[in-house]
Amino acid sequence: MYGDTTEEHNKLGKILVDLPPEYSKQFGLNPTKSEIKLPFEFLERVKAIADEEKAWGDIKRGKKLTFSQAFDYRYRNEGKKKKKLAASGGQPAQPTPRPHPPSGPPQPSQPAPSPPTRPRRQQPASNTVKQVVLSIDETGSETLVRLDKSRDGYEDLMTKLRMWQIDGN
Amino acid sequence: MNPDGINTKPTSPDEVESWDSDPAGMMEYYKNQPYTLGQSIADIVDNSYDANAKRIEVEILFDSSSDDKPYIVIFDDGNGISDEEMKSALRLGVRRNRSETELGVFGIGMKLSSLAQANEVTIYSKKDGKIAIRRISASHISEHNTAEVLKFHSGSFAFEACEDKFIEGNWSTMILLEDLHGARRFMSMNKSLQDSLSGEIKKIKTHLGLTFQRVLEERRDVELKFNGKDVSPIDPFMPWENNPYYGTISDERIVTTEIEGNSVDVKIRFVIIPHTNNFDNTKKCKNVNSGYKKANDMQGLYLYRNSRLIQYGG
Repeated sequence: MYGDTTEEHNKLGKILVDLPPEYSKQFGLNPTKSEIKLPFEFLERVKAIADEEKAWGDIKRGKKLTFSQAFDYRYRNEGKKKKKLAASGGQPAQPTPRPHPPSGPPQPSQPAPSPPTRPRRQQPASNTVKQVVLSIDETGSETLVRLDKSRDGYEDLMTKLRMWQIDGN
Repeated sequence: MNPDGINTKPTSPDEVESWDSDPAGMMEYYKNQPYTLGQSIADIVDNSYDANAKRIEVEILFDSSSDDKPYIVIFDDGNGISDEEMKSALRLGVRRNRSETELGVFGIGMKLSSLAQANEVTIYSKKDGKIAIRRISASHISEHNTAEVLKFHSGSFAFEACEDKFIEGNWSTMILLEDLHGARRFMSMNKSLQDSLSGEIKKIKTHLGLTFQRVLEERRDVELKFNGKDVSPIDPFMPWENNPYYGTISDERIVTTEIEGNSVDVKIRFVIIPHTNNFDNTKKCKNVNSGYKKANDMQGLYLYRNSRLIQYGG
């Protein structure tokens, strides 16, 4: 599907296809079950989805990428990711508490958790994040943050927030 | 006229002639089908699943009279084949109504894949207390240029040993592959047959684990053993690598495609596995790539039919 199957940079990308058993012959399964020639139209549709840009987990910090861009990026750039995390204690670094301003109103004793940071790349450029957040409402037991989806940095922030999301929500 | 506008209906008997084939020539063709030993075994195992077996056992053994005579035997406790059913069971390309859940498709796999490995293929089965036996002997067919199957066993040590096991294990069907000409595919020039076969056995183990991974996980009431040990399912998508930063990432979709005027939904899943340096369970991950294909060839499409992996890589 992605050309030369011995191309090293492609080796992290895999696509599972569940063939409908009643259409095996139409999907090109040969009698020895050793080969399948998938219909061109089907492959075109698979390719169209693969070419959609979306966030692939934490690859390139959650930037929108096509499937092939994502596995290629991971192969070329993320070979040391585990080591880097290990260097910071094997876990993503703890959120850095916001520095208290020298004066002003007293700060809450438990600061709201901020997105996890990773070694070296502590936070996205602070200006970008600030421009995404429209308002913060800390009343009651929950904090409501309103974000502007159209702003640069929105996806970055959302990727980090999703990492902190409680399972099942 | 058929739907493609091709005339396929003769108007008189003079317009047709039987199309004969040369059995010995066809046998050479069957023997040279490019099956790996793992693929051949998997095709035979398909038949055992389709026969509703609850126990399937594959063994590769050496004839104790000689260390250069390996043989392969597959036992199952499925439905069994009666003497009357043998004829159609051995017909190449037999067309019958198959359940959509069956792993077999064309009625060819078991016969062709066996002949791709062995000159002697014995099918020995018990149904309703009666034993039925047939042997496809490439040697007999080639020697006499006749499309006959034999109704007697080879009389070899391997057959005798397997027959004993068949009785002891209360099996229903046994497929015995002897005189393995397919060994040339995995023989190394600088290794003995035993050493070469031992390397091949490791690949077969992985191949079976990959091929039947989902089948094994879905049909836990069926026991599949290879050389005395349970076949462990091997998931090529490494779902156990679940670190949120560098673990496996999946995206499942439905692709709707048009087939013969019907709208058909096909489930697909895009998966990005971790970088090799970031494996948390290195041993388990490396096991995925220890079959017939190495890591670079394990990229690309993984095609499943009824949860059985048909083809992968590329």
